[in-house]
Amino acid sequence: MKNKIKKTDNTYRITDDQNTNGTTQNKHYDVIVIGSGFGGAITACRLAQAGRSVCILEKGKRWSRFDFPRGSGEVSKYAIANENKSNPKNGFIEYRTFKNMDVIQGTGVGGGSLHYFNVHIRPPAFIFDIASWPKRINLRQLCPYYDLASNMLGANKITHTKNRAVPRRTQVFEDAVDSLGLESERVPICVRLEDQISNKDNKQGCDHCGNCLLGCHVHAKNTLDLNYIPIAEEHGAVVLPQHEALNITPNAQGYVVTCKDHSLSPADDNDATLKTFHGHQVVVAAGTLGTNELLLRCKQRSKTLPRISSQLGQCFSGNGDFLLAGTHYQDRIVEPGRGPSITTGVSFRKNKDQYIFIEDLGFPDPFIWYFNNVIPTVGRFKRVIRQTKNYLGEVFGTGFNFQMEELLEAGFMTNFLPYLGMGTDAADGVLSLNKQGDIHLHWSVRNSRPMFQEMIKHMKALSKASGGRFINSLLWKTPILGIPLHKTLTAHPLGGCAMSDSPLTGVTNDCGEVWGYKGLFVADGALMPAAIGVNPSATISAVAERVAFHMVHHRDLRANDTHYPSNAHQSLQADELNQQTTETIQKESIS
Amino acid sequence: MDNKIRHEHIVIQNTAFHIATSGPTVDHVTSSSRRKSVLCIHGFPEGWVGWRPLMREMTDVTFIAPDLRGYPTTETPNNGYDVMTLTNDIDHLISALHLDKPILLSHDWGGALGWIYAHRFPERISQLVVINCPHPKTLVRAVLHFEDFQTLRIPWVPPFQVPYLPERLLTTKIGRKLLELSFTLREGSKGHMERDLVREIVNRFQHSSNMYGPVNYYREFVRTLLHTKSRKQLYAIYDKPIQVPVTLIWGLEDGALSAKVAQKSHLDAGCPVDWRPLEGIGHFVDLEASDLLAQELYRLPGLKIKKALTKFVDVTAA
Repeated sequence: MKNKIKKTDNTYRITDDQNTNGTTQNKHYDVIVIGSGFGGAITACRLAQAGRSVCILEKGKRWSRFDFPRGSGEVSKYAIANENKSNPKNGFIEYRTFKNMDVIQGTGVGGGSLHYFNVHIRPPAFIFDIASWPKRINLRQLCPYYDLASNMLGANKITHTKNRAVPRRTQVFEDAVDSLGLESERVPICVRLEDQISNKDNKQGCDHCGNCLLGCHVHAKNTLDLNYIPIAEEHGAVVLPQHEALNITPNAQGYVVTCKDHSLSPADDNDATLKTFHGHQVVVAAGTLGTNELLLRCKQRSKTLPRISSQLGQCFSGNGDFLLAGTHYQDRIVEPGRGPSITTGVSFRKNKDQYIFIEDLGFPDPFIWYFNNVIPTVGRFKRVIRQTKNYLGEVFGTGFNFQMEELLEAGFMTNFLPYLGMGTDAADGVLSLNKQGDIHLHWSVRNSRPMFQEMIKHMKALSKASGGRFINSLLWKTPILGIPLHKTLTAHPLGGCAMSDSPLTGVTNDCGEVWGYKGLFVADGALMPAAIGVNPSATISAVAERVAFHMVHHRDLRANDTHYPSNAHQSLQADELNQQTTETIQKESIS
Repeated sequence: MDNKIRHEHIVIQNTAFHIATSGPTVDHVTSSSRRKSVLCIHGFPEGWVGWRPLMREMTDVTFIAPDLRGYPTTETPNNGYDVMTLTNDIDHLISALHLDKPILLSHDWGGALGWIYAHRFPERISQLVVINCPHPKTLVRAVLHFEDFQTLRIPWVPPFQVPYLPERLLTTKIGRKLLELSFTLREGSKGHMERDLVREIVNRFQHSSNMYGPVNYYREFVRTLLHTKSRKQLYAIYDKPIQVPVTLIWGLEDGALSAKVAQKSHLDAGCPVDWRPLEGIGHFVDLEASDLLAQELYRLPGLKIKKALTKFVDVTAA
């Protein structure tokens, strides 16, 4: 690993050389966007629409809907990106383990949207009252941006449609909330729920396969590579997949971004795979961990951006995520693998600043097949004994009694309702670089424990009121003996480059511009100064829209703005125009 | 059309009743499909939750399922557990919800209330459907005359007369287990009772105050029969024949209430009773065989799918 440090150091020198060479790799753009997730895709799209030349550098691959893994073998091979395996950076889900918290994040063109659970929910207004949020940001002021993003992503609540009933899991969860005497709310999800048939093309609606985590093979899930990124490309943006940004260096015209091209064969000499790009402005949106890693390296290792606030890496929050817990029912059928992965939720608020949101959760079938075989149940043991008895009976001539359906059991997961809990945790994690120059997370459950305990209490109450048995997360407490581990798994890493009113309290201003570096922006989950308490993708989108709008217009978006960004594809717009003109021509000819 | 169950509280006679509603909204029904809504009166000790499987089965029918007086989520007043007040509650509910002659669907204790209600206010409902409950007069006579061992089939009624203790004991951990068994042991051979649903019902009774009302139904009914004045009042009501169509759906493997006794109900009701037996189903038809129950309900004239008729109506309107 020591080579790596040298590599980054070399990088810096090489860029200088290449600057003088002026090769084809040395391209100039108005804006270089690092990352193509909710932060990157949105800013890139809006800036391209405003006429800037934009280049998107993305570490992962570009995925077609036929490439997503479906078999259980494919899942282990293509879904999870693991650097240690033989084919590195192959998947679109990254699973990073740290001491007290594991983090799931996405890589690939579309970033986290490829595997996320489609939820586009706005947090309650008081979330923005927490002191660490900049004064200029509140829910009312973010509303136009939320509207813009939810319109583009097609967020709506699941209902009975012509072809599909509401999934069983939704009903079971809602019944459980009912029995607790509370009211559940369906969450808006970015999924096309009904088939859209037009004369030009037929778009299939969600077929309730439940594989949202593994990428949608019918493109019913409105991932970013179907809306923001194509629009950006229509306006001239360049998307470079498999380009991992390694360093950012300021120069007279702006910034130089050095990146490594993973698409080329890993040749021995670094020079061929290293490329540099010049940008007047740079938007860092590499995901919370990626952004922090990149900026920390620039600040501490290569020392190209030494003046970044010392707050960099502070205020990390896992959004209070609590996964892997759920309720097991004796014979109520849940089928968690059916339907969009999250459909409904219930909120709890205690005190002024504690907010907890619990949702139903679905796992893709390949995972369920796997779990069903792993979890030992009494039923299976009995069945095996009965089958053996029958078999022996047959051998000794008492009659053939083999029944296939006896072996095909429903399994543990059929009756299991997984929960996803989120809440306002203490946001006191610290991201730093370890000796090898990789990112490391220091987080302790201590300050967030009251919130987690409250959340577990609510989950237990939900289980009991609906007649089931609560099963705790195996990371929080061992299933046997119940030894407390107090580890959590988060899919919503937030913070590290917090927005703030002054450089002393955060890394960027409320428009995402890094304090002390003009033209260097951050536009992803790393901007969030505190936990959001609900799925953050909507808020990240809204903040990214705001960053982009401020970059272009230096002011806030208003409700009936003349510069209201367009969400329509250019080709479609052109088609509509053509249609209109042909219609008018026809009308004229008729008249 | 969404199958989400809506919940509300309505104050009737100074008591807040919890009401769960499913299916199309009432205004919608009156305007387009002209189907009757169904008012569901639960038995002991189910509460509205017992009707949930049926609500899920028949999403195109409006069901209104209250928690009766004294049940958890509805208020528990100190008095008013006699059949007169309880049937008055139903009457006020129908007025408060603006129901237009609903079908009264009732089970077990709710069934007894249903019979008495049909005697008292026949003009308020379009049809009475009773599940596994004989006419109360028939039942009392059977108990007194030891008909078909009916007296021995309901052994919990005498202990329920003891004040305070029954509700206290039934809401302990062991008591709740006992309640759970009282459901599961009576499952019919062909029925399938969802164990989690039973546990959900039983878990509603967390404090002795939750059980006070339900047990009081038994105390007050015995008291009504013992007091000459109230008994005469009740029997005077029985003398007036029921003037709405009555359907009696019966799970034949009911151990608590005898089918033989129930078949004599029409003598006391004063009207023909449509006898609909269900083979292999136990006492809790609503929990065990919601699909069969749905089939039975779709037979009713008020719930039949009347496509041809609505078309005809449309034509005449045009």
